[in-house]
Amino acid sequence: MTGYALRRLLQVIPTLVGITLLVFVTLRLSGDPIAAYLGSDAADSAVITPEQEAAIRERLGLDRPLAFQYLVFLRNVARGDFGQSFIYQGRPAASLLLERLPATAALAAAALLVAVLISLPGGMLAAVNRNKAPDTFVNVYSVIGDAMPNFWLGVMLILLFSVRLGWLPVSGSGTWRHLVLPALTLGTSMAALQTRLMRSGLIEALQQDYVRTARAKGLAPRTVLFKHALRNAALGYVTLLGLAVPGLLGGSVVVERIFAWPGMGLLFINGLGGRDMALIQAVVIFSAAMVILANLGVDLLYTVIDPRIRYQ
Amino acid sequence: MKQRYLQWLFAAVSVAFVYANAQSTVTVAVPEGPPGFDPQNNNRAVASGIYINIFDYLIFKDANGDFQPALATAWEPLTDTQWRVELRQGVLWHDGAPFTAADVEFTFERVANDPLLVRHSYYEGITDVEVVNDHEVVFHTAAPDPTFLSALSRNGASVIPRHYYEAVGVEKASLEPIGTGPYRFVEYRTDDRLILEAFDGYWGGRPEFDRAVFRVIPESSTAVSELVTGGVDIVTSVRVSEVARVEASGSARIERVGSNSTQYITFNVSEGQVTADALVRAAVDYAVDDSLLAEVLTDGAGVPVRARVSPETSFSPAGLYDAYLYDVERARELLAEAGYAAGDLTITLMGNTGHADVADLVAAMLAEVGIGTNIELFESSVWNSKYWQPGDFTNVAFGASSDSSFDYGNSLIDLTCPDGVHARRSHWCNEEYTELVDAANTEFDAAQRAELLREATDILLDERPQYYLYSNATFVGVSNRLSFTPRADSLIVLAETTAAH
Repeated sequence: MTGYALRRLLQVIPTLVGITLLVFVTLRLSGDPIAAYLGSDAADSAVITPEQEAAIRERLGLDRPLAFQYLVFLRNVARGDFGQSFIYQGRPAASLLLERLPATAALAAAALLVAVLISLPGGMLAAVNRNKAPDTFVNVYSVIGDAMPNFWLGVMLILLFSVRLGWLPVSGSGTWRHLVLPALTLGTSMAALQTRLMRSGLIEALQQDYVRTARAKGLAPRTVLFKHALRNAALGYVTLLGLAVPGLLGGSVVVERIFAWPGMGLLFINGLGGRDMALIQAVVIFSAAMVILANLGVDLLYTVIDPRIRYQ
Repeated sequence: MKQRYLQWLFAAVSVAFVYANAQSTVTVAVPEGPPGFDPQNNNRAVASGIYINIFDYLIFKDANGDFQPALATAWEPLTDTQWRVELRQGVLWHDGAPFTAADVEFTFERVANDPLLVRHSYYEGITDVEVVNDHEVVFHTAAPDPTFLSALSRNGASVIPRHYYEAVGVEKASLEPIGTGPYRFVEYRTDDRLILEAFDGYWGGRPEFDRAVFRVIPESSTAVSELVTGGVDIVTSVRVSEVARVEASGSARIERVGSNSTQYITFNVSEGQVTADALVRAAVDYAVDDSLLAEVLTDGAGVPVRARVSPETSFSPAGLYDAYLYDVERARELLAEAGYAAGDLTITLMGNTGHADVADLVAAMLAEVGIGTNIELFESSVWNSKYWQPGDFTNVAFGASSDSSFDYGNSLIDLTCPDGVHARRSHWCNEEYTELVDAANTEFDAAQRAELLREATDILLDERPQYYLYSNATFVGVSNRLSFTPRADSLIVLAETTAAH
């Protein structure tokens, strides 16, 4: 197990190097980085002299061959230096990222909690009451929840809970109350898919022979459900929780914008808008690392949930 | 009875205590946070709008566009290339240090000499800032510059403290700024909120509100929800679709304010482009109903224009504001003159995804005169890099530009050749035009300068490397508890903001 974990951890390195190359190349293929730096509708009209342009290119290292730029970039990334963000007046991209990390982590954790709190009981309720009213209700929820765009849901929640009822702050951060609506927005849509998965996994488990046997032995229905069926249904559910990390990171981009939640998503949008290479590279590589680690975590968790799985 | 008196007394004392401790706060929602606090390394209008509360210019343009003393109390040209400026005495930086001529020297020599600063091009003409004494300087410029006073009162001209920059370095100074403005910096949580506190030692008198908070709220509908629930007092940019919600709220109002941001079309006039033919460009101008565009796209607040003019922009030629050409028959004649029968000509319209509405409307209007269109829109950062690359767009590009100096002569520089940003994009190069603009921008005589700018404008109107659609307007949401007048230059001047009476 330890050997397997170590091997998997080592495999992360070439994957990350591949990602750095991909990000580096696609960013440069999509246009001249300096162009967005200097020209934009939102910016004041600017006259840029060729000398000024050359000076900026030199400072950003854009006057060097592409391969050289990549190697320097790779060396710096290995040292934790993602370069300086030019839309934030030269602040290190890594420190900007670290500054935003707690907000996004808090939002992701809260959204995950919302998703689990909805999907676990919801899926169980539907599975136990298959083809009855609660099942229909949960199914309808999971279809609507999946179909609702985060953007729309967020705006609706603001209008209901903040503007009409006045229960929660509209936007911003600082207290747990600020976290409620963003977490609900992100968690609700995520829960839809997980509810369906929990339902189908549990229905399948409930039809297995060992469940019938447990019932025949006269075990209490609750014991059968929680001790025998649920544990087996959990495997697919946990996988999806792990796979939810990219969804959480992607969803946070939209949700953070609606709720003015100062996390990584908002930073990423600003980076994209300004074609801030250092910032985009930092956020993408960091997010990729998070996704890889989450997948690894799920793989390792399998052995805990299902002792039959053993890695060589 | 006695108990009741005690209760009243307790309540009264509590109220007095709360009142004494209540800090009055004005909260402003802005769509983007400042990138930092180095005013010379910023070209974002929103950030400049915020900086004016922390820093001061030497000269401040009031809402009418007139120069008012700020850190400078008097100014005069000594020669064509020398300006003597007297500085205000008794001004303090937020750390208590006195403001002197050394700060002015440091500020303008830094921006004039460092090409890496975004605002460098505005000030590179300054060759020397001569300190005469602690309260007097003489600016030396490489060439005569009649727009020099505008340069001292535009975004990027904020005076910064020499002693602080030298003591802590640029990085810290741009994270925790010190200025001479009405509010001093307290805290900035990047892209979340900026907290400022009234500066007791401000030379212009302490502002009415004890605290000023700028909250970064990128989404307009969220900012409007904050406004109608009392979470913020001012929303600097309300989307057209949200205007009705603010007006119906009863707790806030919409202030419409003009700007000198002009929406335009840039033609690629290089060889091989159908838009290389001036007749085709003229046909497009006549085919498009600018008034309708302004009506539909800005909810009636924008005004059609034929050049980058506005009432607030000095030296704007008369007759080009609230003016447009729209004559479908004339457009058809011009097309025929250019050798195109109806349906023969197809033009590509390019822009970013934000230009979708204007592109659709223009395409429909061009179809009326028999011009077919292809619309190609790009994600804005991709578009910015395409548009910037000379020649990397086909036929027609949508765009908008503003000029924070509010001087018409400065906005014409953009089409001078070879370095003007728009000339590089459109490939248009007219030597006579460039000479006229250069001459106008070194001419001190106002009447002469206006005439030179008029002649340059005539060339633009005739050749149309760009065709101007309308002057944009901004909708600002303001809480009814506040008296606040938004400005065309988008400066958020909180020192002049008071509680509504």
